[in-house]
Amino acid sequence: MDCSEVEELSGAIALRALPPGEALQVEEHLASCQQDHSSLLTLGQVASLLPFAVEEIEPPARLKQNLLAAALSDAAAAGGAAPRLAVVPAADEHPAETDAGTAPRPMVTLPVRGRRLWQQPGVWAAAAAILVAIGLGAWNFSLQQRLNNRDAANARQAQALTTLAAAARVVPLSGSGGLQLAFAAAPNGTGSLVLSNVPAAPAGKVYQAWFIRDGKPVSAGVFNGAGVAVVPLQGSAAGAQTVAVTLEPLGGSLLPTGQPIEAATLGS
Amino acid sequence: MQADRTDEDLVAALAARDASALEALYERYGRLAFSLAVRIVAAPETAEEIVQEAFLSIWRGAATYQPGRAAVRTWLLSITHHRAVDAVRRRSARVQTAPLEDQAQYVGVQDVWSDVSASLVRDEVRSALSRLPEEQRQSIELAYFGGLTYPEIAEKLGLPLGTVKSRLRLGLQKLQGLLENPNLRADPR
Repeated sequence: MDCSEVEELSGAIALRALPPGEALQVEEHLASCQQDHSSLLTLGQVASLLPFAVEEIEPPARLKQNLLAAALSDAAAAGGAAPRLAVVPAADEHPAETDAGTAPRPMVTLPVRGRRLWQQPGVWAAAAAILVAIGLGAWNFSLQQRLNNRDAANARQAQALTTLAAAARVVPLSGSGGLQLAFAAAPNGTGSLVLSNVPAAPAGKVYQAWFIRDGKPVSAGVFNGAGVAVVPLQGSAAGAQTVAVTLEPLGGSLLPTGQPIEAATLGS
Repeated sequence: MQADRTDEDLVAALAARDASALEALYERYGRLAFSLAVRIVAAPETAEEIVQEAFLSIWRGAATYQPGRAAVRTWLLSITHHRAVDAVRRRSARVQTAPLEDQAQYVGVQDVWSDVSASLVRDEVRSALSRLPEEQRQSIELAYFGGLTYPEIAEKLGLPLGTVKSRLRLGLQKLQGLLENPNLRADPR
């Protein structure tokens, strides 16, 4: 395949409409070609706008719930750092965002933006990289993931020690849950839960932390204990008399659905 | 508070396993990703699986994300598109394309949306697409939303291969021109 053939296929390349054999030929050509194939990047950018041509429809509420549950499960299975999750409101409490709400950025005109990007020198090499990466991406991604997991495991121990060392105050939690938990209060009013061999939450459940002020619980995030050393809590502990942990359905609850399994008095 | 965080902030938080950032990212782009997937696979249940897997890919790959190389939105929608097209091709028992790993999806594709309102882009893209010559628009839609390769489009439409290649190329070039020309953009349909 030569340069003119690649250019002829540029639209199909940008739209990912190449048969497998030709995709490989294009990839091989770009890997060694020194000519300017910036048209591939240009058309790729145009094609990347096509999702906006779709009539938008509202996904079912369960999609978000399933996604968050899967992410928590994924993190627990990978033994990564502590997953943190805000309370997930019910669907009817969380109306779909408006278009404006999803894009708070200032508006500029497309022509300025387009010319700026499309006239950048040497961008064709990036286009070539797209296709070269087709073949190498799988291996590289897998390796990177393994390295990240190993690094995360080592980092967890250091994270726990660092959190405890930096804490202005450390308060152990106690209760019926049999969990080894401590609340490490940071000088700035935030805090973390430090976990020691806390087992994974039962199937279909997550642990949820709460700050309780004047008897009113405010969610401080959910977590799945397995493989987790530190759970940075959301919000401020300022003014809270108690920090508590409950077991809640996946995704967390707006208010506790049961009694705390662990708690500690922070004072007022 | 999440609304103040950029997409890049959210991905950095994902790398630190902050699932609330995943929720925030979903709130921003879940609807668009789901709509794209439904348009391609024409099956809401399959689209749900695709979107969930696309977001999980971001969740899992966040640590390797390089902000200068592509926008988060581009990355996410590219994964969604690719997985949806793969689903269509599997369903059609056609030969699949070479596997495009998720990580490859965003390499080198810079953000063309980063400084543009989503609603503005939406209106402009729809308007520009509607102004393409019918044969070009049809070929582009069969490729991008139908998941067809260009030989499959040629077979479906009974056209020579070269004609379809030209329509795809010229159609995207025309689309670029329409998006760049404010006078054409402003014209009512």
